[in-house]
Amino acid sequence: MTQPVVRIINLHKSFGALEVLKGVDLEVQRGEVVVILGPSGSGKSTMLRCVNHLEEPTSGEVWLQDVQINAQGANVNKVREHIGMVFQSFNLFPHLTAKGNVMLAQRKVLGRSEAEAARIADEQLAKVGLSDRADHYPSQLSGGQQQRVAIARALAMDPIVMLFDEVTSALDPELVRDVLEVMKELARGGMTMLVVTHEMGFARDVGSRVVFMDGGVIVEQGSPEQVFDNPQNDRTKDFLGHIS
Amino acid sequence: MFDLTRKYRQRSLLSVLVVFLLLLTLASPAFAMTGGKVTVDRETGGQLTRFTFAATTGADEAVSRIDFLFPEGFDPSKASVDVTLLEGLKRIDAIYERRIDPKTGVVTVLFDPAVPPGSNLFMQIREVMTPIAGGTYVLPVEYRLAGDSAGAVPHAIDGLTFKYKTPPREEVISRWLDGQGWVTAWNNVKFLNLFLKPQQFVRAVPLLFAGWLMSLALVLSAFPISIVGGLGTAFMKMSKVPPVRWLASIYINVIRGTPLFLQIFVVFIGLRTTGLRFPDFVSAIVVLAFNSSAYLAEIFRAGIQSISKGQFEAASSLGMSYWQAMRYVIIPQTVRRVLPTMTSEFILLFKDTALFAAVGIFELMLRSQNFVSRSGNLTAYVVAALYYLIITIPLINLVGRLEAKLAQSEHGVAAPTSKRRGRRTPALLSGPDFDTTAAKHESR
Ligand SMILES: Nc1ncnc2c1ncn2[C@@H]1O[C@H](COP(=O)(O)OP(=O)(O)O)[C@@H](O)[C@H]1O
Ligand SMILES: [Mg+2]
Repeated sequence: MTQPVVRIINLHKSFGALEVLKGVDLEVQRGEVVVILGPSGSGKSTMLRCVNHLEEPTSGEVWLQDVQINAQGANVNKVREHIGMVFQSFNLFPHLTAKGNVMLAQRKVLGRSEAEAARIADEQLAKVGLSDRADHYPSQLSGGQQQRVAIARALAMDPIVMLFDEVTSALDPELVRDVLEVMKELARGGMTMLVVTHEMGFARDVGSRVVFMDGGVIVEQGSPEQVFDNPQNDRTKDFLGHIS
Repeated sequence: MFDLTRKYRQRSLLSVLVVFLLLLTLASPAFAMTGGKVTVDRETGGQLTRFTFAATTGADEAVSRIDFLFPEGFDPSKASVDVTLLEGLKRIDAIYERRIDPKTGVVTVLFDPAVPPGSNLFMQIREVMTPIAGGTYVLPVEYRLAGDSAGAVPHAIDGLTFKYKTPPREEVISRWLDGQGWVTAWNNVKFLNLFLKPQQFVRAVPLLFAGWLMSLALVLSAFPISIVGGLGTAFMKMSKVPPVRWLASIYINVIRGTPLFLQIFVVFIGLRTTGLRFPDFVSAIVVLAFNSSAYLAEIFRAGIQSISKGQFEAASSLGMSYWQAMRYVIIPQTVRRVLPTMTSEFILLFKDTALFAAVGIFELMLRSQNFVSRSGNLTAYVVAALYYLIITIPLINLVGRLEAKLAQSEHGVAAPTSKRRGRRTPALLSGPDFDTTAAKHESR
C-alpha cells in the first residue's frame, strides 16, 4: 500500500476539562472520499480542524504525507498550503471580490504572479460555475455562490487534500445541490477529501468510505453499503434510524 | 529696593542726556538751525498723523519763518500747529501764525517776534493725512532769518527723513469699517460689540490664522504617529506573552486614566527640570502622539477583535502566517469598521491642541487669548471658534456618513427575503465559527 495522504494516530483533544476526542485513528489514501457522520457534538469538526492544526491536539499524531503537522517546530503554515478547507460559514473575505478571494493566497502564500493567479482564479471560478460572478463581492452573492467561491479559493492552492465541514448546512435547500454537484465533480476528478456532512445521499453516492463518530471516537467505518445497509454498532443504527 | 535702583538709573540717564544737550549747544556752529529731526506718531500710512520737528536755532541768528514742504500725496490741509520754545532749559512763549497751502502741501509758520538765537524749537504738526504706501520719506524744511531780505533764497535743512509702513489689509478694512454707519449701529448693541465687533473680527482673522495652522500642524504631525503607535500597542495588548500584554495595559490605562493636561505639564515642565530640552513643537507632538496612541490602541483592538474568528481561520487554512492574515485580511476589514471612531478621535485630538496654550505654544487658543487680553474684546474667541469649526464640522459630518455606510454594508448585506435571513443569520452572525464575543487573535 502507498503512503496515506492523511494519517491520524491516537488523537486526543480536550478543551479544558472537556475531552472531545478520545483517541481517534484514521488513514486516508490518495483519491479517497471519506465521509464522516455522527451526531452533533461528537467531535467531527474538532477532528477535521486538528488535521490542518486550527486546533492543537492534546496528544497523538497528525501526518500529512511524510510531515507531522503537530510536531514541535513544524512549519504549520507550509503544511496548510497543501490542505484546502471549506467552512460551514463560508468565511469569504468580504473586502475582496470573488476573484480577489481566490487570488489573495495564491499571490501572498504561493508567490504566484498577478497574471498567473488571475488565470488560475478564472479557471477555478469557471469550474464552480461562477465565471460571471468574478467581480462580485461576497455580499452580492447568494450563500450557495459564496460557498462555491470558497471551494474555488481552496482549490486554487492545488491542495493535496480537501476538508469540508458541513459546507451545506447553512444553505437554503435549493442551493445545496449546486454545491454538492461541485464536490461530486471534484471527487470524480480524484481529489482526496474528508467530508463532514449530513447529506446521506452524497455520502452513499460519492463516499468511498463512511466513518461514523460518536463521543469522540470512531465507532464504525466501512464502505457506504456496509455502514448504511448493514450497520454493526447500535449507536450507528440508532443514528441512521433517526436520519432516514 | 528694586524701585530705588530703577529711579537711580533713570536719573543718571537723564543727567547724561542733559550734559549731551549742553555740549551740543556749546558746539553749535555759527550758521543756523542744527539737530533737525522729524518723527511721526503712527506706524502705518493712510491716516491722520502727528509730525514732530525738533531743531536748535543758530547761535547768532533769529528765525522768522519755517516752511514744511510736504511731499506729494500728503495732505496737511486740516493740520494744526503747536510750538514749544526753550531757551536753554527755560520755556519761553512763542507767538506765531500758521498758513497752509492745500495745493502745494506747504505748511508755513511765521514767528513774530522771531525765535531767539540758540533756542530749542519743538513743533508739532497735527492731523496730516499721510498716503497709504509706506516707506522712507524726505521732508524738506526751509527757514528764513529775521534779517533776510524779502527776495533772498531761504535756508534749507536737508535730509530730514521719517518712515512708516503700509498698513496691512485688515487694518485698512478695519479703518473703513470705523466709518460705516451700520457698523456704528451694530457696535451700539452691547452684546454684538463685545462678541462680534466687525473691526476686531477682520483684525483677528489673519492674526489667528497662524495659530490655526499651528494647531493643525500639531495634530497632523501627531496623528500618523498615533496610528502606528496605536496599532503597535493594540498588537502588544493581544500578545501571547503576558509581560508584553501587561506593559501595553499599563501604558493604555495610565494614559487614558489621567488628564491630557497633566501629561502636557509632565512633559513640558518635568523634562525641562531634568535638563532634557526639545523644541516645544516636538514635545507637543510627542505628548499628543503618546496620548492618542493609547486611545487608538483600544479602538484598533476592539476593531480587530470584532472581525469574526472565521476570517482569521480561513486565512490560516490558506497557509497565511499570522501577520499575513492581519495585513491582508483582518486589518483591511478593521479599517472600515474603525474609521468613524478614528475620525472622532482625530476631532478630539484637534480640539485638545488648545491645552498647549498653557505651556506657551502659539496655537489657536493662545493667540485668541492674547488678542482678547490686548483688545479687551471677545470677538477673537468667536473667530477662534470658527477656525476650530471649519475643521470639526465637516469631520463630524463625515463620521455620520461613514457610520451610515458601515451599518448599511454590515447589516444591509443581501437580505432579500426574511426566510433567507432567518437561515443565514445564525450562520453568519452567531454561528459556532463566527464568534462574536471575545474572539482573540493572539500573536504567535
Ligand atoms: N473551542 C472550543 N472550546 C470549548 N469547547 C469546544 C470548542 N470547540 C468545540 N468544543 C466542544 O467540543 C465538542 C465537540 O464539538 P465539535 O467538534 O464541533 O462537534 P461536531 O462538529 O461533531 O458537532 C462540543 O461539545 C463542543 O461544545
Ligand atoms: Mg461541527
